[in-house]
Amino acid sequence: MRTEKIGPTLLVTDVPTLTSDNCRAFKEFVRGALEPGHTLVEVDLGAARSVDSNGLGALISIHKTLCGRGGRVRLLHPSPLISEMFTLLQFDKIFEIIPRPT
Amino acid sequence: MTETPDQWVRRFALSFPCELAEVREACRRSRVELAAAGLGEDELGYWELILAEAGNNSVYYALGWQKHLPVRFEFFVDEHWVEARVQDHGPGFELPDQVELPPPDSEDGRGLFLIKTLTDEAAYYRGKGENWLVLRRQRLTPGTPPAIATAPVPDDRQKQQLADSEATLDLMTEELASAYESLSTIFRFSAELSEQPKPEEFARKWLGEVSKIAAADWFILRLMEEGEGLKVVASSVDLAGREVLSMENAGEGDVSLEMRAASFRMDVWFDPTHPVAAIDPLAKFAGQGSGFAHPIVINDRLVGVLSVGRYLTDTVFQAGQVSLIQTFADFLGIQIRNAQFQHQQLQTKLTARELQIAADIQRSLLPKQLPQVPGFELVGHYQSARQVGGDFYDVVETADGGLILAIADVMGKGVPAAMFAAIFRSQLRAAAERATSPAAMLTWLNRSLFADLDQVEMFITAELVFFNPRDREIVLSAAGHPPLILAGSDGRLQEVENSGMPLGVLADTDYTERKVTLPPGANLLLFTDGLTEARDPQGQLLWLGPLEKCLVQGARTGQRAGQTKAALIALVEAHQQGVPAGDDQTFLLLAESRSDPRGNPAKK
Repeated sequence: MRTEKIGPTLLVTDVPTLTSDNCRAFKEFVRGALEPGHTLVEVDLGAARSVDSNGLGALISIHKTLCGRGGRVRLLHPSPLISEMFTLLQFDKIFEIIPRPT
Repeated sequence: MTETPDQWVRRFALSFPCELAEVREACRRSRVELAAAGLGEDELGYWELILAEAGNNSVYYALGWQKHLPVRFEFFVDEHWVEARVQDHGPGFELPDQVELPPPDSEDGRGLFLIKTLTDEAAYYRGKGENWLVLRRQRLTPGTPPAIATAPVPDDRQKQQLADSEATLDLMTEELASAYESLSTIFRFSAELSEQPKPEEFARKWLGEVSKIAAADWFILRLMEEGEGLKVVASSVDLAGREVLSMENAGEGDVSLEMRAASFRMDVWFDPTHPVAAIDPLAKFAGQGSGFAHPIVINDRLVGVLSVGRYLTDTVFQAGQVSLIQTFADFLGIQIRNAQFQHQQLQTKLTARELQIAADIQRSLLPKQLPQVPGFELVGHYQSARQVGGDFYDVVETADGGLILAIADVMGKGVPAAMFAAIFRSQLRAAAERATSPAAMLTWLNRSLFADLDQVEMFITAELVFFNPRDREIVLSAAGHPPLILAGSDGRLQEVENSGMPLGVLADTDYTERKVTLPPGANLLLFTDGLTEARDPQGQLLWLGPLEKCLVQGARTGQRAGQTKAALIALVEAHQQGVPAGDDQTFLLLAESRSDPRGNPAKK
């Protein structure tokens, strides 16, 4: 995983999976990279092959952290399967989701 | 991992340690297998997610020892459906029909929702020590029909049929060979049984034989021991302190492959994909190998567990070898049960014989005919309890025309008590020849018997009565014995007590005595405590009162001794209402015989 800081945005890329075995590490990684001026976290899921409910819990956790400072989380380019799961779980009501370019 | 590629229904399974990191790898491997079964990319994604959720739950909810047991995925794939079964060892849960989404800001609680939503059928079966989550999902596009059914090229089909036929023949040959081996082994086994060898040696020898035939590297036979658990009786390996598996400790016990086989009454297998737990007593041998634990159940009763294994997995047990081991184990179980049954029967017969011997001794001690003196009638009664005790009575004539009445109760049951009763009677007869008083006689008897009684921690209660019919006097002395009862024809009653220590308690003790003149029409009763302690169906004791009334009634009405004896026996039986006596019931009754019911002596 990598992070890029662009003004008030923290971009997280190269997320291979977001599952039970790495969700805790993901949360700590993102929180560790957050700086006081960051109000938007973008998680690029373009490389994510699988996401499970524990990974979703990690995204919710970061979302709450950002809400606490008046910020938000945006999810980028999830695979069709992950998108379908987001819809199923009504994540589109919590996160801004940017679809994968066709 | 196992597979049956020659059948249209593809089956495979994998097991993995109960750890989150292993769930991810198991999902990846499952995905590869499902892809090989022809599932499309979308379906693979769904299944990977479903399995991840199910696997994670299996890990999260396992507690304590349950974390040592592997999680197992099993798959059944056909043309239209995929079925996955997930085995966990946690406490289990109730799978609701409908799973609601958690609040949006909740960080967990979405796993079950995904499982229920992404599958067409989901059921959770809770068992003892293991649970199964069974998940079914219809395939998005029907699978490719099996090669056998569609292969249009005649040559290929013929080749396939030939290969199938050869495989079937191989299986049949192996089955026949194993059946022959089983029968042959059982015949030789039965022949040796007729020599009645010790079960442990016998089991060890023949399990060694069967292991060779079935190419097993090791075996362990445990038998169920009452109150202990599964105990090793024959083993080719050193179990180093794990010889007994307690059935009481079911939690920890379920970690053990053998305990699980015993609990579920079914074979439990192990191999590197379905390993035994690290704390399992078999872990040392089963590590990288394969094998199984087979419960031996006869008539729905667990007799034991036979475990066999191989150190390496390059060759797994063939069906015929498994059949041989199972058949032999069951046959061995029947033989062991029969041996145990025969042993129990022998013990029962021995016990019955011992009781018979004791009863015979008791009977031989009782006088065939009681001596009589003019003007009095003397009768005795002895009723043995279910377990023969050590009661007896005796009457010895003295040189001066009197009688020595003796009654005794040896503490204990069976042959030992009867033997001491015999010794006591012999000593009593010897002492009677030179005895001048009951107290001196008891003192001598105590000194004479003390060493023997003390050695076996037994004692005797006894009462001696010297009766002089001429003077109508009795002199009595007792050693820890109940008082005698004396009733007169005037209805007066006396409990005459004079008791010292039971015989065999103190090495050197002196006994005292009392002299009593018999009242007119006297009824004198000497008895053992089995009489007063007769119980009714509610457990209530008879006590002394009813006996005394009966005795007074006999004296007042001038009953003959035989009538009063019959009344006493009837009284006890009426109280017991059929309840078997817990102790011997013995009494001696001296009744003044008279023709005048007012109580005047018939003869002085």
